Amino acid sequence: MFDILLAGLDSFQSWQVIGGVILGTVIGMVVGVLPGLGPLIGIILMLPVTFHMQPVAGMGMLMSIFVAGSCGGAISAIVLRIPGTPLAAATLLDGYPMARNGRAADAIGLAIASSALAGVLGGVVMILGAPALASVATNFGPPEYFALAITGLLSISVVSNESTIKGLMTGALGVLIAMVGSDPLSNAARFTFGTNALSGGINIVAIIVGLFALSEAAVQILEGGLRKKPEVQSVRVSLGSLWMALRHWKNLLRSSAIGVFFGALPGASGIIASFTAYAIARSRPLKGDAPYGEGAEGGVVATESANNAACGGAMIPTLALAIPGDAATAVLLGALLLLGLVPGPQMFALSGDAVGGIFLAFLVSNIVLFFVGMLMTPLFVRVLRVRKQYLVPVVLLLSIVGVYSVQSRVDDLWVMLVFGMLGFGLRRYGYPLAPIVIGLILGPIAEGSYRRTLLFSDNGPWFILERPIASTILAIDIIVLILTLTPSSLRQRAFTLFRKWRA
Amino acid sequence: MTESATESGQVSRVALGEWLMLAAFIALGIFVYQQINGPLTAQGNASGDPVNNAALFPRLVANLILGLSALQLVQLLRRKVRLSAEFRYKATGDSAWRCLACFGMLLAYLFALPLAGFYPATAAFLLALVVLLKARPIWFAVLVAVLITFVVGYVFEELLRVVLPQGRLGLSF
Repeated sequence: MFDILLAGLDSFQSWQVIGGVILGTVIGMVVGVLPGLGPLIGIILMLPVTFHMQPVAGMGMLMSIFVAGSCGGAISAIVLRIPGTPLAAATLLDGYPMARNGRAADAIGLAIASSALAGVLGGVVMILGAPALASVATNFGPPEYFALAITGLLSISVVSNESTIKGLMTGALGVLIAMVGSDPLSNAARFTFGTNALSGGINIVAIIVGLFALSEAAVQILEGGLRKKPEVQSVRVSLGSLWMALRHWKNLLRSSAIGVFFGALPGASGIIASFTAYAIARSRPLKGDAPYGEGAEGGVVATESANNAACGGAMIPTLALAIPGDAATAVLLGALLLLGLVPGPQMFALSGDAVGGIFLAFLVSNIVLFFVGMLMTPLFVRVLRVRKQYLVPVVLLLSIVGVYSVQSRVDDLWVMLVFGMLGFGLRRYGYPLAPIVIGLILGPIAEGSYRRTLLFSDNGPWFILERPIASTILAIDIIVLILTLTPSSLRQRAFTLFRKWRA
Repeated sequence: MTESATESGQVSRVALGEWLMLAAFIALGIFVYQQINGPLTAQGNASGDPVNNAALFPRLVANLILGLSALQLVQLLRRKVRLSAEFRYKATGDSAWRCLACFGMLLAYLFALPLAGFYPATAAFLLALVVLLKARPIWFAVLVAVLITFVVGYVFEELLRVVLPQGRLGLSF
């Protein structure tokens, strides 16, 4: 572990990395605070900018947005009772009552301090866990990678908020989009319509920005309230919040562990982690704290530490196995690929210095989050007053210029527009977008490893069954899929029959 | 129109959309097969060993899409159509019109960008957009549009060294 960190020190010690982390933290807080944006949109908007940075600096900036964006939503949840991101939905249960009791500054300070402390803990687990997992995976061959890629594709589709079938359909759509261009194994042109413009594939940044940022802009306009300007009072946070959070150290450690666990599970997320941590903290209140639901400090500590520790947990399978757990980590995985790093066990062996730099950037981003949060909270609260009529054009412009800057091609902007329309249509009819990103990233891995598996097998795809790890992973995938696709009434009937049979 | 009437109208539109979406996915599956039997077969890459058979995985994915579409068809026939959670607000005709107009402006901007260049095209696009989104007074909208254009242009051109479209006027920092 220390070898990797020491190797990473060189790539970390540059102004570009430190500046990227600070800038990413500020951007992350801003997108987290603003309802409707959130860390995913922040990462997507800044993804093209990282093309012009060193890999560690680029990843440092994107991960800082991920970390700070997961915390920023708490500010609007506390001040306005509107969670800036779904991650902060549980924070308002006690954060808003604290603000109503005249303790808004304490609640925000607690949220930031808990997020930063839990983020560091999650980062430590990531630094310990990711290399260990990667070393286990070093012996994996194409069948195991195929099984892992299928797990990644299934998990996000299966747990998507909307229908499982729709999630799987959009995941498959993502895999198909990734196939446009030259086939990497045979060089055959696929789905290119005979044009050279598509032979190199479709620009993944244009696809992601179009799907998410453009469709979000359309949704924001449709929602109305363009001139609405919330009345918020200035809030100043003190460094004493750190001690206030440490008073709840047991809750903080427990919630961080819950966060890391749920974060590391593909498909689960910080939202599940924060509600679970809240429910457990509620059953173990601290003496002298207000009742839960009426402004308990423990409620804010539990939810915020869980959702920020989940960031570290989510990075473990993303870095070690190239299996992202949600849309944000899928985009981070895409960013790694675009920056020339190939995630997975090989990255730890071949680019140890970059991995170490990324680890350090993640840890430092949590520390920076604390200081930026303490110093700049009055500014972030003021950001809440920005009207949609100015916010939407800025999001659109950043999307346009960002996508253009990747290859300096206006054609990419047309691609972005087409995918923006597609993203809006899919959202309109309840088709989740996150599986498309996972399909785009994992599709080529799944295809490559499937075809390589067949190449070395005399037995066709059944060769996978001779590999214990791959067959176990696939068996679990199939069981999960069957369980989620079977209607609950049928499941209940089967369970009753099974109990009768046992009796 | 009453609220329930508005919602029922929305639901019937969503029901139609759901069927259209399903049709689009089925068409996608068929399109993949058309590509396999057409261009990929013509290239000689639709069969053979796993390295040369570029149709192997697309065929699997197309089958998956068609199979899932069949399941979705059953779902649509069995279940009542529900509005997607994030679209359950009351979208007014005014906001829908505004959204469509923004799309039209974006379309016009993409046509104008290579001709007029980044600065004039972007300033005009932003001004039209903020005015359409009800920004008042006009002088403030002009100020915001020009300021944002120059700040974004400066960051990308000067700090990130991106060559933005200069158009026929050749304007840049």
